[in-house]
Amino acid sequence: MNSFLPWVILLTPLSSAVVITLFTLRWKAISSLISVAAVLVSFACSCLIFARPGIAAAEFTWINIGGALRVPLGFTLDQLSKTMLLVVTGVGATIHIYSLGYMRDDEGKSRYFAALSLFMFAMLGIVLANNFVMLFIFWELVGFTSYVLIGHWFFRDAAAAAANKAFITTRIGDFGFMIGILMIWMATGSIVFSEVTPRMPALASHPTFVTITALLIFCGAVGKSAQFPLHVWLPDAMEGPTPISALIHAATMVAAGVYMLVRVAFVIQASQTALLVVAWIGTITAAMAALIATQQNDIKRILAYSTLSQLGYMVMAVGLASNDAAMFHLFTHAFFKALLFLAAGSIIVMLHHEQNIWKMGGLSRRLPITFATFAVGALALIGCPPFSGFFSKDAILALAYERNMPIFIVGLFTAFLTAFYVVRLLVIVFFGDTRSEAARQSKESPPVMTGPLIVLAILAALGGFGFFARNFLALPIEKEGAFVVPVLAFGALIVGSGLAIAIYRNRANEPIDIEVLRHKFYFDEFYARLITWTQELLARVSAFFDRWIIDTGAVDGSSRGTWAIGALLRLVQVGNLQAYVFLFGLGVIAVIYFAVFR
Amino acid sequence: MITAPELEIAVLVLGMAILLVEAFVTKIDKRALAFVAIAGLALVLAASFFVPPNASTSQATGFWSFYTADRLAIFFKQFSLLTTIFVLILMTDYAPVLRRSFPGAAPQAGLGEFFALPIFTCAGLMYLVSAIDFVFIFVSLELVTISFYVLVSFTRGNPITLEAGTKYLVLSALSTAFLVYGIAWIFGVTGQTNLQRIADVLANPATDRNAALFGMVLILVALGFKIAAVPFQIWVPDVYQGAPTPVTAYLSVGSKAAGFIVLLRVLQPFLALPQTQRLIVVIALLTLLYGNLAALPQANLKRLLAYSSIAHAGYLLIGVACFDASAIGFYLVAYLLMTLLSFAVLIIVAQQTGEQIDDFDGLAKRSPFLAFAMLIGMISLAGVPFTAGFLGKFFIFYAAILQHQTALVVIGVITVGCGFYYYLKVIRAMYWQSSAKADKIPVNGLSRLAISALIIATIWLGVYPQPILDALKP
Amino acid sequence: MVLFVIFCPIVAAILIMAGVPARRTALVASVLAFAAVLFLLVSFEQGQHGFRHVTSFTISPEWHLSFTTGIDGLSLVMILLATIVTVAAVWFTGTIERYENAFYACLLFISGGAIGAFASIDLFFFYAFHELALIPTFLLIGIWGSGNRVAAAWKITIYLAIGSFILLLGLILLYQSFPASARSFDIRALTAAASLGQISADAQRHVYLVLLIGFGILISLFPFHTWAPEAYASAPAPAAMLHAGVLKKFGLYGLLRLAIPLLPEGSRYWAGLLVVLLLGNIIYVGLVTIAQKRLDWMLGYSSVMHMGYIFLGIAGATILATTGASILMFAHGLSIALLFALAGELRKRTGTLVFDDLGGLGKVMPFASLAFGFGVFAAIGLPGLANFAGEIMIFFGAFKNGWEMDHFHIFQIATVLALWGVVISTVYMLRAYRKTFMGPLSDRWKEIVDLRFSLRLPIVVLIGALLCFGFFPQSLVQTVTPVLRPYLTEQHRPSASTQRGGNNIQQVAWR
Repeated sequence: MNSFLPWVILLTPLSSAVVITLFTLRWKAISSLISVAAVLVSFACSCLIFARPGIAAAEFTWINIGGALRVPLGFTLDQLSKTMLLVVTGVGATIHIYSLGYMRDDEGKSRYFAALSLFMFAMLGIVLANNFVMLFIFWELVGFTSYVLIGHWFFRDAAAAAANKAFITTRIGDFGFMIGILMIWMATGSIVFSEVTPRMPALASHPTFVTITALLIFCGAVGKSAQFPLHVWLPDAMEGPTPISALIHAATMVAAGVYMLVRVAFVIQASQTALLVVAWIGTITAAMAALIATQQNDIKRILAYSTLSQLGYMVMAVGLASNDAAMFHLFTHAFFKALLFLAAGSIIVMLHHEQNIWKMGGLSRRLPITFATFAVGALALIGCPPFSGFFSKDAILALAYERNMPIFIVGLFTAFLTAFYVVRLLVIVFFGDTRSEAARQSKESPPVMTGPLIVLAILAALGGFGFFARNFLALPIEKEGAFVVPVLAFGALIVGSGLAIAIYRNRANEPIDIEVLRHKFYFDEFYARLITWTQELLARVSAFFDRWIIDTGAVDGSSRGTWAIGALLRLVQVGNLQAYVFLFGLGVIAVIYFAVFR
Repeated sequence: MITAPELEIAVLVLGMAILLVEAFVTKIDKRALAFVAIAGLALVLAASFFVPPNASTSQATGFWSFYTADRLAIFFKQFSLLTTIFVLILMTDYAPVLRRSFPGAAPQAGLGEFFALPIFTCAGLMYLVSAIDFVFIFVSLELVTISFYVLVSFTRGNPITLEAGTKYLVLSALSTAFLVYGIAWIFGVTGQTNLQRIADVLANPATDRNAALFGMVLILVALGFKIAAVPFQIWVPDVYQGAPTPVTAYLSVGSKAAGFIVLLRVLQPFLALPQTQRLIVVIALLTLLYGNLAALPQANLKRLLAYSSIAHAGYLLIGVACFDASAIGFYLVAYLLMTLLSFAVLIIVAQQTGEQIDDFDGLAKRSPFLAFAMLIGMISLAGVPFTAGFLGKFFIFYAAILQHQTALVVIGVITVGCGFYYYLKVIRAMYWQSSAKADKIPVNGLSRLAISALIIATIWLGVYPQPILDALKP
Repeated sequence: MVLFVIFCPIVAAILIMAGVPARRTALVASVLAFAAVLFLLVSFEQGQHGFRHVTSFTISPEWHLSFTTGIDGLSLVMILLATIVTVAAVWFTGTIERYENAFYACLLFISGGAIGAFASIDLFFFYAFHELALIPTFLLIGIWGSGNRVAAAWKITIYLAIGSFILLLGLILLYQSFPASARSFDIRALTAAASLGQISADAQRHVYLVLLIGFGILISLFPFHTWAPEAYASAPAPAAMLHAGVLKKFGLYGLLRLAIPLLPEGSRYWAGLLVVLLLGNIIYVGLVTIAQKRLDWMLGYSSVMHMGYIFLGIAGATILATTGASILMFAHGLSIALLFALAGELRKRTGTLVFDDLGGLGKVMPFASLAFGFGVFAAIGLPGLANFAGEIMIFFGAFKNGWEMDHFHIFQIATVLALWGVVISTVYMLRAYRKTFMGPLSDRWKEIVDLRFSLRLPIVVLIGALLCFGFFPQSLVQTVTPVLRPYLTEQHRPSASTQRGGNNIQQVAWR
C-alpha cells in the first residue's frame, strides 16, 4: 500500500481530469466537485507521506532500450519533495475551493477545473520526479496546462496572445534545458538523479563542459521561472483567471524553476562560474521587476512583477549556493503571494472585473476581510517582521551579505523598492476616497472565497517562524554578526513605505511618471522588433524561395522546358513528302558519318 | 510431326483460300471470312506449339541454310500469329468505317481482301523471323512491306489515308533500296549472304572492316525505318494517323517486332566491331528523346500512339544495345498486349466520337469497361507495376545497368517521366472530365472477349512473367 | 494471416469497382484488416529477431524472385499504423456525390498498397505494392480535390513516378552489387549475404546514394519536397490522411529496412549529406511553414518538416535513434492524419482555410477544437502523446552518434538545431491554432455546427492511439528494437572512411 501512496497522489488529479473531459463536461457543478475532491485526496495523501518516514514508491519503466537508454517513472521522496508536496497540494486545495466561488458562473467551468486537475498532476510530477527526462516530461505538461488556463477565455484576443507567448517563451528556455539534459546523459551515461550525482565529480576535468551544461539546464529555469531575459510572458499571463495567476503564476509553477535548480543543485554547484551567472540573473530580475512594478496601474500586473522580483530573490539564493534559503523563500512566498492574488481576485470580482487601481480606493471599509488578509500578505511581501516574508528574505540578504557584496546592495535596494510599490498599492487601493461607481457599490465576497483567504493569511503570517517552518525545511543558519542585515533591511522597508505614503496619500492619479518604467524597459517592443526582423523575415524569404525558386523555377520550369522541346520537335513533321525524303537522306548521311568515319 | 516451314505454308494456303472465296463467292457475309481466318490462324497457332525447335548450323545447306527454326524463331512465329489474330478482330470492328469510306460501292466491296492481306503479312513476318540469309531476309521483308502498301492505303476514298499510303510507299521503297545496297556491300566484302558465314569471315582480321561496317550501317538504315528509330522515324506519325486504325496497330506491333528480330540476327556478325554498339546507343538515345518529348503536346490519340511507338522503339533499342534478346522478347510481348489493347478501345470509341484525346472525356461514365481497359493499357505503356509493361521496362533497365550504360539509364528514367505525363492525359480525360454525351457505347461480344483477354494477359504477365521468360530461354 | 491483411482492402476495392455498395464494404474490409492486425499484435512474441508468418510463392527461380510476405516488429508497427489510419480515413469519408465507388476503391488501393509494401520481404513486391497507390492518388486529387487540384495532381504523380523509377534503379543496383551467386530479391537472403560482407564498400556508397534520392523524393526530403504541400493542400481529406500518414512512411521504412542492414558503410559515408538535407527539412522548411497563410498548406509543410526528425533518427544510426525514428513514423502518421481529417471538415463547413478568414471557431465547435488541439500538441511533441516518445529517443540517439567530451560533431550540432526546430514548430502550430480556433468569432461562422457523433469516432480512435502509445511507448519499443539491433552493433566500429582520415561526419557512434 505504502509504495502506491505516491502514485495515488500523482494519479488522482489526472483521473479527475480524464473523467471530467470524457464524461462530465456538461455538468459543471459535478466537474468542479470532482476536481476539488481529487486535490483534497492528494493533499491528504501528501500529509500521510509527510507524517510517515521511509515510504519508497514503486517504479514504472517508461522507455527501456537495453544498454542504450532507460527512462523510469520513479519518485524522489526526501524532505525537499515532501515539503513541496504539502505546499503544492495545500495551496492548490485552497485555490480549488476559492475557484468554486470565483468561477461560479463561467461557461467554461468544466474545462477550467479539468485543466486545473491536470495542472496538479503535472506539478506533482515535477515535485516527485527522480530523473531528468521525467522532470522534463512534467515540465512540458505544466507548460501546457498553463497555456490552456491562460487562454481560458480564448475568445479574448489578449488571452489567446498571452497563452501563445507564455508557451513559446518557455519553450525557448526548454530548448536549452533539453540540450543540457543530453549533455549530462552523454557525460555520465545516466539521467537518474541518484546515479548522476556520484558521477559528477568525475567531470571536474572538463570545467567548461560542466559550466555550459549547468547554464543550459538553468535556461529551463529562466524560461519557467520567468527570469530575465525570458520574463516577458509572466505579466501577460495575468490575462488568465485570477486563481490561476495565484496558483500557477505565483505559488507553484513559476517556483518550479527554482525547485528544479535546487533538485539538480549537484550540477549547478559543480561550476562556480555558473553559480555566479545564476546569482546575477536572479539579482537583475529582482531589481528590474521591482522597478517596473513601481509604475504599473493594473493590480494584477503589479503583483505579477512582484512575483518576478521575488523569484529573482530565490534564484539569487540558488546562485549563492544556498538551497535552504531559496526553498525557504519559495515556501513563504507561495503563501503570501497566493494570498495577495486571491485577495486581489476578490476585489476584482466585487468591482466587476475592474483591475485599474486608480478606479479603486477606500476599499478598506467595504471589503474588511479582503483588506485585512491583503494587508497581511503585503506585510509579508515587504518583509515586515514578524511576518513570514521577513525571515525568508532576511535569510537571503544575509547570505548575499557574506558572500557577494554587490549583490547584497542591489538586493537591499530591491527590498526598498518592494516596500515602496507595495505600500503604494495598499494606499491607492484601500485608502483615500473611492474613485469609481463600481468601487462604491462593492461589498465583501462570499465565505467560499474569504475562507481560503483567511487560511492563507494565517500561513503567511506564521510561515516564517522557526517553530513552524523548521518542521518542514532545513532552515538556513543565521550567522552572528550578520545582525547588520536585518537592521538595514528594516531600514529600507521603513524608507520605502514612508516614501510611498508621503507621495500617494489622497492622490487621484499618478504624480510621478517615468516613461521607461511604464514601458517595462521596452522589452516587449524590442522582442517584437527582433522577431519581425529575424524569424519573420527569414520565414518570408524562405517561403518566397521555396515557392518561386525551387517549385516554380526548378520543378515547374524543367517540366515546362521539356514540354516546349517536345513542341519544337513536332515542327519536324512538316507533312510534305519531299521534305521527309530529304530528312531521311540527311539521317542516312549522319548515321554513316558517325558509324564509319569517326 | 509438324515442322516449322509447314506453319508458313498453312498460313499462305489459308490466305489464298480466303482470296479465292472473296473473288468468286459473292452471296455471303464477308465477315464470315474474318472469322474463318481467325479460326484458321488460331489453329496454326495451336499447331505451332508442337513444333520442335531446331536451329540450323552454319554447315547446313539448301533450305536450312537460309531458314532456321530456333526457339526465338518459333516464339516470334507464334507472336506474329497472335498479333494477326487480334488485328483481324480489330478489323471486324473496323468494317463499318471501311464501308463508309467507299461511297456508292457495294456494301462489302473489298472487305475480303482487307481480311486476306494481313494473313500474307503474317506469313511474311513468320518467314522473316526465321530468315538467316540476307537474300531470304530481303524476300520475306518485301512480302511484308508490299502487303502493307495495300493495307495502309486501303481506305483510299479518304485523302489523308491516300497521302499516308504514298508516303509509306516512297519512303519504304527508299529504305528497301538501302537494304539491297547494304547487302551488296556486305556480299562484296565477305562473298557470303548467310549470316553465320559472314560472321566467320568477319572474324578473320584480313577482311575490310570498314567496308563491312558501311554495309551494316546501310542495312541498319532499312531496319531503322521498319522499327521507327530516329532518324528514320519521320514517316511514322503521318502514316500511323492516316492508315486504317487496325493497320496502324499491325504496323506498330507486327512489323516492329519482326524488325527487331532481324536486327538482332543481322547485328550478330558485327558485334565484333566496336562502332556497332556505340551507334546503337546513340540511336537509342535519340529515339527515346524524340518519341517521348514529341508525344508530350499531342492532342490526337492515334498520333500520340504513333509517337509512343517510337518511344518504345527507343526502350527496345536499349535492349539491342545491351544485346539482351530475352529482355527484348519480353518487352515486345508486353508491347503487343498493351498496344493492341489501346488500339482496340480506340477503334470502338473513335467510331462513336473521334480520335482526339478529349473525345474520351467522361468515358468512365459512358462505358466503364472500355475506360478500365484503356486505363490498363495506358498504365502498362507508362510502366506501372503489376502490368506487363512495367516488367518489360524492368528487364530492359536491368540489362542497361548491368552493362553500365549510364547515359541510357538516365535518359531512360527522364523519358519514363514524360511517358507518365502523356499516357495519364488519356486517363485524366476518361475519369476527370465529364462529357457532353452520356449515351452508353456498345461493345460486341468478340471484341469484349478479346479486350478482356488482353487485360487479363497484361496483368497476368505483370505478376507472373515466368512463362515468357521460359519460352525465351536461349 | 498477413496475406489476409494485405488482400482484404485490395479485394474489397476490386469488388467495389465491380459495383457492390461502396461504404459498407470498405468499412467492413478496413475493420477486418484492423482486427487481424490487432490479433497479430497480440499473438506477436516480443524480443525476437526475424520475420514471422512468412508465406512464399515462387515467381521466377532464376531471378530468385518470389512473392514473399511476412512481418517482424518494424513492419508490424507500420501495418498497424496503416490499418488504423485506413479505418479512420474510410470512416471519415462519408458520402461522395461523384463516382462514390471509385473513391472508396482508390482509398482501399492506397491502403492495400501500403500494407503490401510493409509486409513484403521480396524487394520487387516491396516496390511494386507501393506503386499501387500512384494512379489512385492521381485520381483522388484530380477528381475530388479542391483548390488548384489539376496542377497538384500532375505534380505529385509525375514527381513520384520519377522518384520511384530512380528508386527502382537503386534496387536493381543493389541486386546487382551482390555476386551473381548471392543475387536475390529476398531481403533475408540479401541481409545474410551482406553480413558476410559480400557487398563492397564502393558499391554500398553508390547504391545508398541512388536509394537516398529515390526514397528522398517519395518522403519529400529537402529539396525534393515541393510536391507535398500542394498535393496535401488540395487532396480530399481521406486521401491526405492516407498519403501523408501512411504512404509517405514507405520511404523511411525502406531506408530502415535496406540501408541500415545492407549498406552500413554507405549510410555512414553519406550521413553528412543526409544531415545537411534533413536540416533543410527541419529549419528551412520549418521557416517556410511559419510564413504560410492557409491551414492546409501549413499542415502540408509541417508534415514535410517533421520528416526531418525521422531522417535524423535514421542518419543517427544508433539503436536508440532508429527505434525513435520508427516510433515517430508511427506517431506522426496518426497525428498528421488527425490534423488533415479535421482540416478537411473545417473546409467542408467554412469553405476556406485562410487564417485571416477564420477565428474563434472554438466557441462553435468545441469538440473539433479539442481534437485539433491534440493534433497540434502531438505535432509539437508534447509529452503524453506518442510523438514525444519518438522525438526524444531520436534526440538522445542522434546526439550520441560521434560524441566526444571536448567538442561537438555534426550529429550534436544537428541535434541542437533539430531541437530549435521544435521551437519553430511550436511557433507555427500555436499560431495556426490561435488564428483558427481562438480569438473573437466572426458572425460569418455563427451557424457552423460541430462534428456529428459518427464523425467523432474515428477522431477518438486516432487520439486514443496517440495517448495510449504516448503513455506506454515501451510496448512499441520492445516490438521494434530487436529488428535493427543486430545491424547497429556495426556502428560502433570506426568505418573505413574515417581511418582514411575522412572528416568527422563519418564518425562512429560513441559506446
